[in-house]
Amino acid sequence: MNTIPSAGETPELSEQAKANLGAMELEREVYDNGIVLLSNRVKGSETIAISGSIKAGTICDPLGFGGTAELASRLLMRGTSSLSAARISQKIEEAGATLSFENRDESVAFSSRCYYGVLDEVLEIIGECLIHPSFPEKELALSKNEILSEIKANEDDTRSIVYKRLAELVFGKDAPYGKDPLGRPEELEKIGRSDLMRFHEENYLPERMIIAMTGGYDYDRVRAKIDKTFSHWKRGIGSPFSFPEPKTKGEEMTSVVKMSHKTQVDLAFGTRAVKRSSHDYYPLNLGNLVLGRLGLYGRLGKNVREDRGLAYYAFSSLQAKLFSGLFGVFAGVNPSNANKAIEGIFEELKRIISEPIPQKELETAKRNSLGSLSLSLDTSIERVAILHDMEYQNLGLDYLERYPSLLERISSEEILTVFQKYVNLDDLVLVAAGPIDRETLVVRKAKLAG
Amino acid sequence: MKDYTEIRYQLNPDIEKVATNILNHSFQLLEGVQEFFLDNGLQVLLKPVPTSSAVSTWIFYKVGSRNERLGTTGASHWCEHMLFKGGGKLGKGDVHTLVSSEGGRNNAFTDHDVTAYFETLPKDRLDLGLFIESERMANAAFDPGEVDSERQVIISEREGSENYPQYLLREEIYSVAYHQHPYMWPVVGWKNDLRHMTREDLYQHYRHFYHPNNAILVVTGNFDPSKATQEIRRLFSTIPAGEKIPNKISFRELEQKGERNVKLRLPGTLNYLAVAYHVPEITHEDSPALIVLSAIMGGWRGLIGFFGDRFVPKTNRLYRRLVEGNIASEVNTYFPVNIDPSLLYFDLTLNPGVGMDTARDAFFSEMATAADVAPGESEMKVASNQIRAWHAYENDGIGLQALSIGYLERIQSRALAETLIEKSLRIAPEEVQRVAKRYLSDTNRIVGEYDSISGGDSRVE
Repeated sequence: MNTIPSAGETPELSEQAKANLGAMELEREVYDNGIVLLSNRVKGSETIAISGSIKAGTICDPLGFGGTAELASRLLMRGTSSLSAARISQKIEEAGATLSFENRDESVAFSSRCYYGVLDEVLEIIGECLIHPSFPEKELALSKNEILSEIKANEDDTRSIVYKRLAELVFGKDAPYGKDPLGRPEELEKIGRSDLMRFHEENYLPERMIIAMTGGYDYDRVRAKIDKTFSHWKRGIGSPFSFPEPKTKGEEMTSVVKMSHKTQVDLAFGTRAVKRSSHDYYPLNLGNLVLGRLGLYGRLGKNVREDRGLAYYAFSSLQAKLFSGLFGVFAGVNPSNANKAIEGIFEELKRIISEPIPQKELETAKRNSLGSLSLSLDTSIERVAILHDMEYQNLGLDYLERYPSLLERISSEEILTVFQKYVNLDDLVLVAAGPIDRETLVVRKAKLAG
Repeated sequence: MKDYTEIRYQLNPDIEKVATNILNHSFQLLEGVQEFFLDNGLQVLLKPVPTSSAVSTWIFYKVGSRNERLGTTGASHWCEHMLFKGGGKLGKGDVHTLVSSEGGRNNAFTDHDVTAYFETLPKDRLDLGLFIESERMANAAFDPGEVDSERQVIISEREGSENYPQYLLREEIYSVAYHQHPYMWPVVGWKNDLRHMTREDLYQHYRHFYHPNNAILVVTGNFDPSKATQEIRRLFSTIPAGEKIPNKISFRELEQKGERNVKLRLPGTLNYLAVAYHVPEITHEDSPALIVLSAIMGGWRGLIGFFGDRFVPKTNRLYRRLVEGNIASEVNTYFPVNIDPSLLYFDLTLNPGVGMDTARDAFFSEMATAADVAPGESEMKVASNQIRAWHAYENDGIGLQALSIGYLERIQSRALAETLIEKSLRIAPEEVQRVAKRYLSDTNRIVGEYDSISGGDSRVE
């Protein structure tokens, strides 16, 4: 058995973690119509996890018809040319399986769990939902009501408000990544069945689809089944899925939604960051780990929660997408502590953009990043999600093997450089929701940034 | 392996093969579990999983909000926070630092009946997880300065929840559902108690409940059982046993004599309805039928319910009546797994413009139907297949397996899940109707309404 290292030691990257990352059995198939299958067969496992996507998310919403992608995704399981909504649910649940579709900003994600014995049936249902949805009028009305209800609920949810407003202010509220996926009530109202049919025809295309699977199946059989289920689906004739990197941003720098009836204030600071394919992604991501993720929220958690005892949560996040990204810091605090929490957040932001991360802290972050990726492979749900992202972000089949070397070469100086490049305290957008006044926050932020 | 082919009712031929496959080839949670006790009473459960690249160490203390008193509500949860603050060979924050530097994961949770801690680490670092838990069991410091600092963190955790109408409603419903039993207060504690609890209150709570003979240690993953046993003995056997704590507590609720109601009129944008029914402890003979009833009424998403999945069951009665009937945008069902009699809990988010009476009438008519008519074959079939399949889904990976084993052992027995599932698959439709009639009655329910009023001053500044 090993001895227990003290918190001060500097361990090296685990050879075991490296070996684990390279040990997955992966296969990839590209079908004639462009569908990509990623597979990780696990001997002895009788359950199967599926994670897939089709690039038909909010980013594809037609101008003036916000919420189209959301509505379309919700209706995929609500009736097809040959199956009613009730029949789809009945078949899935009778088989002891799960299946869900979820609209995101770029794509519609789908996921499923099932036993091997029902895999063919589940794949057939996924194909039916993606290729032949009928968008019945009755179900359309029902889904609109669901969305309107969610919009209402979000208007009373402080955390939801800061996430939504932050994206609006950073990207612009009608820009890709800035708009609310749920749309606006007045735009939702006018979306009809024919709009959804057209949206489906233009955006639900096989060349935009990825399906990743893990579990104990016969790969050749699965490959053939997917071919049989999806091969009649023809490629689209429209333009490829590509959007220019957004240049616009919101006109406001601060948004405070005062809600006196709430107890806690949710705060968010943010700015435009990198897309996933950028060379700056890896150092920025590692720095973000140090700043607001590692252990219990990294330096931010230590400062704001552990040392000052001001908040239950204070963390940072980096969302690197296909065409842009968002860096944000989030905290939930009692209004009487808001200014002190902002002080703590700015202390840490100033430190990360002015001082190189000490070597020991950097090594801990690298080990964490590598080790946590390795541990993620232990559950089928996380493993299949990683597999899917490897294809979605075009990382390559050897990504897991390359990952240790990608990390090892990152230096503290490089992290400092990218943080200075992307995080300017004067340009940080501030959003707050809860029982607090705008004036208090704006003045405080201005003082600290200066 | 158990044979589930002789279940009570027959399946449709077109899916019989599929269903039999599910029932016979499901995941076996307890396969390979080894048990031993140290002289000081620590119960140890080891489950080697040689295919894993990791090892997960969990410790479950037989203490939760159930073991608290008014005045110190939330003490169990606060103690959980303090066990990250150092003591003995661990400094403040060391748990996170040590685990993070190995790329591991760690966390903890407190519930009504249990407090649990875990570290999931690369397979060669089992020693680290065991070391952390042995130090926590014996040497947590409860430094007075750290107690005070954590006070605001916990109040902040509570206040974050208070921002949500569903949380406020749930807290009110539990507080009127019980007259005596400690399930009546929230696990996080009442805010006034959090403001006034002292370091001594907390340390006393820790010393009383944190000792080897009040804990269950579970290790799952890729490890050598004999080496693990040796290390466990080395680290834990010197910790002295504590006072034996009886599992039974003195509070036993009397039967509810009539419907209880809670009405909140607060600013908001939507209305919410929640209804809870008293149900017996999970070890009660009616629990298998209640599981099937719960699945039929609101769908099934696992016994323990920690497994995150966006899947929304849609064939169940409440979804069909309330969501497809345009009354609610969301309906959730929570089946309780508790030591003492607890609450089967439903909550609904009403669609804008739908009156509370409409929602109440629709919901109660479904409950009445369940009591009046036995479920059909198709519903029984879906319920059974979902219950069995979710047993595998919610035990995906060594961490969730350790959670299931330890949590259920704490409640009664690690075999509880498989026992309940096996029994639920043999339940007759008439049994489901019987428990519906017995428990889903108006005199046995607590009804909570969150009536949002406009006039909150939400405005963008």
